[in-house]
Amino acid sequence: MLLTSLSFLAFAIITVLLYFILPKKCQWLVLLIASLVFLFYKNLSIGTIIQALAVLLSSYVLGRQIEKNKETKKAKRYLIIGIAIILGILAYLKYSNLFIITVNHILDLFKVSYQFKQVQRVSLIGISYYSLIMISYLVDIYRGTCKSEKNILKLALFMSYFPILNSGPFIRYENMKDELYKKHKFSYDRLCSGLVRILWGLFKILVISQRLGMYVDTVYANLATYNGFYTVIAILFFPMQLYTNFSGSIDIIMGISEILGIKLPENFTTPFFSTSMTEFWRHWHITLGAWLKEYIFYPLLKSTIMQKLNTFCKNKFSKKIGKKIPMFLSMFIMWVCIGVWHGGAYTYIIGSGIIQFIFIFLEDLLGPIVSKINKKIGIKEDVFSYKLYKTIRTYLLFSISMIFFRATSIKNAIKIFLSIFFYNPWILFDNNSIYKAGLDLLDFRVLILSLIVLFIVEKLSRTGSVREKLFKQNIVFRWGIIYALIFGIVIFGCYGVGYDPAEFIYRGF
Amino acid sequence: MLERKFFMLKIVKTAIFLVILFILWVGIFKILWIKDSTSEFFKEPKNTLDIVYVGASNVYIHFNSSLAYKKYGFTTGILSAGAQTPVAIEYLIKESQKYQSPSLYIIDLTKFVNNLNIYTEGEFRNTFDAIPFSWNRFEMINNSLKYSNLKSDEYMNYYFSFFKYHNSWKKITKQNFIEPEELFKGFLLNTETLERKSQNIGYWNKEIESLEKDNYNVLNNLLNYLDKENLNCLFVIPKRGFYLSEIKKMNFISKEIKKRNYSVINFNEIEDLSINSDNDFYNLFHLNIYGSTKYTLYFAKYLHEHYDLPDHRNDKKYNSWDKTYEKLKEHYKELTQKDFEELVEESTLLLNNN
Amino acid sequence: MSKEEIYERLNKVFQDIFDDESITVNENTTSDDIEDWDSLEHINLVVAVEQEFGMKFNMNEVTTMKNVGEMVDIILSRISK
Repeated sequence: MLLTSLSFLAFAIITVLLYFILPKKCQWLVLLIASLVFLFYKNLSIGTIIQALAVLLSSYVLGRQIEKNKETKKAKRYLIIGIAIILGILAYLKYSNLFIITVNHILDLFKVSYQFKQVQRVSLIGISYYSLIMISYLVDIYRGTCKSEKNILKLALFMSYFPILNSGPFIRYENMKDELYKKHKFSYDRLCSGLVRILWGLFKILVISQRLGMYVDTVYANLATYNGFYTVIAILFFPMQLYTNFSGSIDIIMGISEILGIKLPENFTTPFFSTSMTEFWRHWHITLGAWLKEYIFYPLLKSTIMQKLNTFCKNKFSKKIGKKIPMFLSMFIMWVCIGVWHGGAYTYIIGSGIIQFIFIFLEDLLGPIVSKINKKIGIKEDVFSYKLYKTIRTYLLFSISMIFFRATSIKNAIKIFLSIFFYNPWILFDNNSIYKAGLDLLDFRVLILSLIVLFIVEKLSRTGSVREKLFKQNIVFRWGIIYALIFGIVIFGCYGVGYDPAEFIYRGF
Repeated sequence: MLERKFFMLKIVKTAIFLVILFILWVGIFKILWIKDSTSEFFKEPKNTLDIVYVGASNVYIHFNSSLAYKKYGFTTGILSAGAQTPVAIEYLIKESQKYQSPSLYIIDLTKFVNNLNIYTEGEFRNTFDAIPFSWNRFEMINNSLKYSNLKSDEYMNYYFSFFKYHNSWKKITKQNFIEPEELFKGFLLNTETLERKSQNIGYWNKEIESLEKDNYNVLNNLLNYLDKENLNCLFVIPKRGFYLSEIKKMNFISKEIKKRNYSVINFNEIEDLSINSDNDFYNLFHLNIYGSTKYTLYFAKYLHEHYDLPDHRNDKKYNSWDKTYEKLKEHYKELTQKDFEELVEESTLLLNNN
Repeated sequence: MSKEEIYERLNKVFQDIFDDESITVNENTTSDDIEDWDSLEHINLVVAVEQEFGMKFNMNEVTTMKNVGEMVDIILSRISK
């Protein structure tokens, strides 16, 4: 169910109504049923039921067992079995093709002419989210951070809470158990606040993201026609398209969750204001970063192997390098995991994994050197212009990495990158070349205007909730903004059937 | 107590918010809407139409209702849209009954001979969009789309047309803010001639070929509805080019309708209409203003003579019809630098000579 | 082992990890007080403390420790066992 679709709107309204009309005791059951509907919407089959049940049952049983056998070897064994089952199912459903492609490449390398065929597997929506969430549940029980859930239906709700299935955020059982199962009173203020957040999310997706997408899709699909500056603009547009879509989705589900009274962790905090890639990733998909740190990076860094490596490097090189090498090794592994999580293709592993690692690595390596040089030649680093330069640089670096994320293959990504160098700066100035790639003059106007709105709101949000600020204003302004938002979305949103006046035969026959 | 007062205040506030939202919504979409003949129909005051004339483009291009009024004083509502699907006719009549109680319904038969799945999105919308929200509209859309190749989850776009029209902000012109200039009580004034002389025009024969099952059912349902409501109804086959297979089916339809005791006029078999294929057609299938003037004069006279229709020309309540006629004359003058009355006189003379 | 003794040994670990001889920690010291104490150094620090005292923190403790005082409490509870 697309978050911007009418079916989702109907689904959300029915869920919220039942949630507050039925006795408060049933609230979590309403959520469970709604979540199951969302999970299996247009995707109900024996296969999908089995894959969901396998994860649920194994998490439930093993979670109980880990707790019972606390601080014994058995607990560790159960934990490993649990993780293996969850990851196994995830890998089988999502990464089979990645495996097949890799094997085929290797076969090719050894001049074996046999090639495996790629497979088509139906996985449930949100499988990459609930798999990691259930792993964190088991690990947390093992670590003693949380108690295991005795009621399997409650655990099912934790696993499938519908708002997070679409695009996160990652939740942890410890933080959610009270939120999900306790009784929630209806609150008018929460309703208003939640609705405004949903509107804002819709604005980001329908007005900005979809519009950017029209341009990006046109250019990337016709690289022969659109190159040079067309590509440059597409490359610069894509991160913004991704951000407005992703964070807009988050806004919608957070808005719904807010109406229900269930707090979720934030996933984005104005990432494009970051002055370095390291900072950027602290503000982009925050809960994924937190998950990986908690369950991959720290344990790796703390592991015996890494500590041995640490000592080894310390003795061989210096204390500083001794620290850095295991750190970067663990970091590299973590980034590969992020890449893999984003999807079963090499473009993802490179685009959202390895390149990100390289940038962060270089920042760490070159940062101090650049600072030294700046000091020597008298370039001030604490002025606005330098910070602006660093912010723009971060955006550019992210844009370049996202070429791989967006491309259909590595070859395609390289082709996109190379097409930057086609010389055609005049398209920016001549009559209307630039308006031929999916967005016309009027679309560009709307786009620029809405990006300015986005910028202002993001800027304001850095000093506290924009909605709180809005609700403090007088009624005329407050309602004016909300009406403007509604009609901005309804009129300028890119949804429904494309309008083609040629289709209208009024005054023609 | 205080809490309760607070609660009431919030409800009132929400209600006001929604009312303003609704008003803005309606206002904005009125601007974004593309107005056409059908929307003109629903502007007529209640129970002021003597005839309701339903059908596809051959209605609003052929029948100049304000001219008919000028001549004989009866009012004809044009409930027509380009390529109106025949499936909709039953529902359009039902819809018109909510506002008007005409003594005669005229139904154009043109589209009954064509496949029911040939309509484009724009054509469907021409028919549906101006109809006010109601269960009848919902049924009309459902039944019309049933014969198209659309999937049922695409129907939503037709129920709520703003899914389409919100995009028309790009095409906003002066036209969006004012009443349509070239429509005169639904009639479209057109002075152009695209195609001249065609062998198809004016050709007719007596062969018969039976109708497809779907089309037959649609016709049958319509006739059943007319029977049930006991409506006075006249069917017409307009003057225009038809393909051979269409002619054969049309003959079949005429026979079926006559069996049910309704009359059918085939204008292609009427010699003294004096419409010539050189100047009076816009293209093969549509008349222009020269053809339509002859057609209207002939048909209006026929209606005046065969039906008991009132004359409203001295009734102030109906002076919007006079105004429309004046507007039409002006517009004609702008386009051709000639007086419309002259054209009417010439045409009348020609018709009388025959 | 007394608390004072633990703090003394901890000081050495901190000075070693952060390369700063001037560091002395007390129970209220947090990561805000020491410039280089970020989440990465935190792991290194934890490992160094584990080696120094021959005990293990569990992952939960690693991520939830708020100040040096809490760290010392954990160390005390482990080595007294």
